[in-house]
Amino acid sequence: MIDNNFLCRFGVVGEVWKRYISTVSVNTMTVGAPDAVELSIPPSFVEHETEQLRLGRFSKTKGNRLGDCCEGKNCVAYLLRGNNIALHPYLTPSQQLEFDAHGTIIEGPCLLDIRKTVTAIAMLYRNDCVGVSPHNVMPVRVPFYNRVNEPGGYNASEMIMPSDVRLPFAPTNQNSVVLLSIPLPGHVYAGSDGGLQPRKTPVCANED
Amino acid sequence: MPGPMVAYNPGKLRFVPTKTDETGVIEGVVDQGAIIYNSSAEASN
Repeated sequence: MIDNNFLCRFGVVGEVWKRYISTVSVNTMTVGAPDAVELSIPPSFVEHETEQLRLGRFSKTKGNRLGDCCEGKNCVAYLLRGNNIALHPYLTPSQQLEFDAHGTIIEGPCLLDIRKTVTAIAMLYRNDCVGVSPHNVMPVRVPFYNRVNEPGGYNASEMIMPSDVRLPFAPTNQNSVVLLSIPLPGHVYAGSDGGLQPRKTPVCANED
Repeated sequence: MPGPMVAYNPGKLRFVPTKTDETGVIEGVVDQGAIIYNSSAEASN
């Protein structure tokens, strides 16, 4: 039995997100480079994310406080100097409106933990030294993307780009929910140009 | 991966407490600082 905390740590982020990204459509559901992928994942702008990074968020009409990040005591907000409480869950703009209007509590990871999960998977993929197989894929569901080098976005130097993490879309039995999974080590790795290159033997990042 | 996402880098973030009591922080904000795109800075370069 897998508990919710375990699922959360590995990027499976609850029923709300599951419903949210159920609008995603993928034409090709095979492991490997898909021929065509259509996505309807919305952008998340700086202004919205600044609000999501605020501690002490209350519903504007109901006055109730939003809960803590599902990571609890493991929330990465504790790593911020001078802080001793967890962040709140990341809410999409529509969820934020719902919370402000009706006080609807939504559970999930905070924005920093979402970034942490995606960054960790990107690092694992680049290092190509993890024992991941189709039977123990590490899923992560990404509910949004950020804009780059434009107002409302972030500097490109701070971003993980899709070309950095060419994760295949794995088949899933969870009703249209897309799982981004890591390919088998030794099959491919991301070259310096961001493209996929063949590799005969897996190596770790700390090897020369 | 459907699109770019900000990398996790807490060293680039700064926490600013806005309300505290004897237990510690009650409210605060996370300043994302220089990772945010600044069009005026780009224009001056």
